[in-house]
Amino acid sequence: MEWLRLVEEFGKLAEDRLSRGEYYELEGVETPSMTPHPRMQVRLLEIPGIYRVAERYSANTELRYFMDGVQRTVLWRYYDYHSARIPVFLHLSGAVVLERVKPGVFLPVDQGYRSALLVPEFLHEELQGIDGVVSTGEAEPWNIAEAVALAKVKSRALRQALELEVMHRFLERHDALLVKDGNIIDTGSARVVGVVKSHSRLYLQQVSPTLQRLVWNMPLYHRSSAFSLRLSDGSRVESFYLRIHEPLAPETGLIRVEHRLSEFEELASWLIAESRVYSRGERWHSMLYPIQRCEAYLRTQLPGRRRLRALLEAVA
Amino acid sequence: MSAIGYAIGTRSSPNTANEFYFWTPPEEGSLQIGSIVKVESPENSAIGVVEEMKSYADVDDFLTHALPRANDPLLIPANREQSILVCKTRVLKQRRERPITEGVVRYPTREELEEVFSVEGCNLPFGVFVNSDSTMLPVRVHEEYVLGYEGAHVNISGMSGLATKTSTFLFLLASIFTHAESRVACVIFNNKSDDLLHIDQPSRELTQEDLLIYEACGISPSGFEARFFAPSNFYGRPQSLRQSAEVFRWGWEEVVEYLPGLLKAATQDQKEKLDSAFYELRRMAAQRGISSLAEVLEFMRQELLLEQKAPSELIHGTYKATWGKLYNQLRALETKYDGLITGFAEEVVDLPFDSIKDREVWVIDIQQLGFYPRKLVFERVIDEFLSRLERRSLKVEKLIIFMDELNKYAPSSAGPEVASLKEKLVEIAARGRSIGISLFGAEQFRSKIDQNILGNISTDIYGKTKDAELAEPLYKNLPEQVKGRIRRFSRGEKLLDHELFEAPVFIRVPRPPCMLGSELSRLRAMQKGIASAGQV
Repeated sequence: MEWLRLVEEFGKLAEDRLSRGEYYELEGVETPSMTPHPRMQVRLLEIPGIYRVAERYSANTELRYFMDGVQRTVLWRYYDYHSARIPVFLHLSGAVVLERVKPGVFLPVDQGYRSALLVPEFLHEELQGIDGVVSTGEAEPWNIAEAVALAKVKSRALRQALELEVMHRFLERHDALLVKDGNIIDTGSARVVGVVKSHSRLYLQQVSPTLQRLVWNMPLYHRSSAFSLRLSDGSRVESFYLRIHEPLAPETGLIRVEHRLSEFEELASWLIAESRVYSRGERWHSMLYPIQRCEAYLRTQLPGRRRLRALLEAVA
Repeated sequence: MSAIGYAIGTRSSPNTANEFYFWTPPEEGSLQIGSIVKVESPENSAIGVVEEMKSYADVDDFLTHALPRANDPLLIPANREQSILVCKTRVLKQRRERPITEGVVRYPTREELEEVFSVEGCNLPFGVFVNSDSTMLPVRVHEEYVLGYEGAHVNISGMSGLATKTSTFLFLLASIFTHAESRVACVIFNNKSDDLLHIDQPSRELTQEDLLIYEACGISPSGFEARFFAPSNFYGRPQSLRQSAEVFRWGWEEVVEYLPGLLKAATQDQKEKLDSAFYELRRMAAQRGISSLAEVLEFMRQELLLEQKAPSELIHGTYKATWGKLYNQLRALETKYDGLITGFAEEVVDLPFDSIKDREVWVIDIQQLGFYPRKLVFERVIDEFLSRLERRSLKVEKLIIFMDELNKYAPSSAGPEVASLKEKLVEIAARGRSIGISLFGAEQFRSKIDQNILGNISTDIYGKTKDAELAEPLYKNLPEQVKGRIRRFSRGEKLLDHELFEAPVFIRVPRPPCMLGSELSRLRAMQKGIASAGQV
């Protein structure tokens, strides 16, 4: 447990300046979004419309490898910085690639874990020399809310970086498609497919509001026209929406797929194959079962909430 | 040995010093209820028997499973919910008396299994244990706990027709005769057709599997050295399907002690009067040196049933009417007991109790007798051997008495008709171990046996048993899934529970080493079939 050594070391060095706070996890806290909305260029690649991918369910799929990452950011202590109490967060993250060796049996083929103590830049400067302390960015000592929001963003960034590290390691060793939870625009690989479950950004609204409406009403096993997304830094990815479950509500069973494949019709049908069986929980309709297995696997590797809390309490 | 699972205690299923849990991947196809496994952890190691298996899948309810399959059982999706098997294991042996924390589970090696079953002093193989990895080894019980003097008695229960009882008993007997250190003989009562009348001949129906079990147990299957006895009929021939059986016929002296139990009366008051009249008669007969039933009846006619006396008049302290009733019942003994009882002392042929030899089986054929004559035979044979064993006047130190349908003669709720026999069986159960007499009982319903007998049994063997019987409180210590397996037992499968074992063990027993009546019938039918085919 690298992270435990980290907090112990920190605790020893700064014991007289640390005070306890009520345990909470940042992932469960609403914070103002600190992520700048990327300037994304959207371009349609097909005639606007929706297209049928399959008549009925077929179990045929060539997908074997699946990836996801999780993070946990918990308040560890408050640091006395010239009488200001600055929250110090513990970041834990993990990423895994699972291989489906046969239906119902998933085995990890690559994985990685990271831990860090997250502090604002001004504190980071003061604590130079302590391994594992990471700056969350510039913030004012009096702006606690900003410090919290920055920690959340940094935690997510650390997890994404870990995912990229594990992903590249996998791609170096395997010559197969990898289905990753979330977007892949920053991955740069043609062998990675991203499956995005949430639709807070309406990409098609910019180029074709009609098509966006059609997507919301898209029937089962249909996809939208393909479109491309391009960032200002030149990175580019192709995308389409796909309905993998009956649209009981506009978002039910709607996923957005990101890829860099020249042919994506087969990929769409494989993802439909992956729609059975259902994941558990509220996101059952948009989370592929193998991705949920990745999450479940990582939950077994990272300390549970009760254990984490108990261990943090135990550290002086 | 390859790993078959991993032991771990969870919050909902913690390991204890008596049991541990382990998971096993669903594709591991060999484990089953009754398998014996070994877990190794740095601080402890344990060997246990699987008592419960549960299968879990990553699915909340049946709807969630059916929905993605569109209610079509044949639809096979690309994914399948992850599933797992969890086994609960009862500890048989462990290095230290503490719970297992976690560790890899494997099948124990043959040597390790032998260590589990090698309870010190156990020398009688009562079947073989076949582990799920096909390791087969004999399961031995302790002679001193089967035949006395530490403990005694064996009970075999289970449904009829699945080689559950008689066949199992004969195998056990062969094992005892092969391996016991003490001089031991056996008395069997045949009360079913010619079932036990050919046990001096070897079985011809043993399969390869049976022979393997015999070999593993170090027993050479063969017929027993046996003597067959049957009560005589009126013509001095044996009342038996085995015409070569030695006959026995008892007179007044042999049965006088048992007659009160055979006298019948309408009311308790009448029974008491009849009993006191009988004891008076017995005293008078003894005084006069009367030794046969015919002489007793003659004496009664001459002295107790005087014509000039009225029925209400007292003769030797008893009403003449009571003497009359007693006379009638005694006079009927000869006819009612089908030749088992004779009026004349010179016709008496007793069983040669003193001649029973080491490793000899006596089969007493009582299947043609009615209930009361059978009871008389049981009681007297038991008594005669009991007294001889107590006096140490036999050529054997230990005697096995096999009683089929034990629940009939020692039921949990006994009527007056079996009271005296049941009392005798209870006495054997309680005192038998110190004398060297061991009761091997068999029955369909163990729960119907008297508690005083069950409480003294050191070894129980369960065969296929019905649900209703397994629901009885007597079986409450058996885990539900063990009961489930007992319900589904196939031929030869048994559960053995011995006083020195930590937990009951599933065993296999072979067909009997000797010929049963049913086997002979099959042989004859086959020969007849061949003969008639030849004629055609």
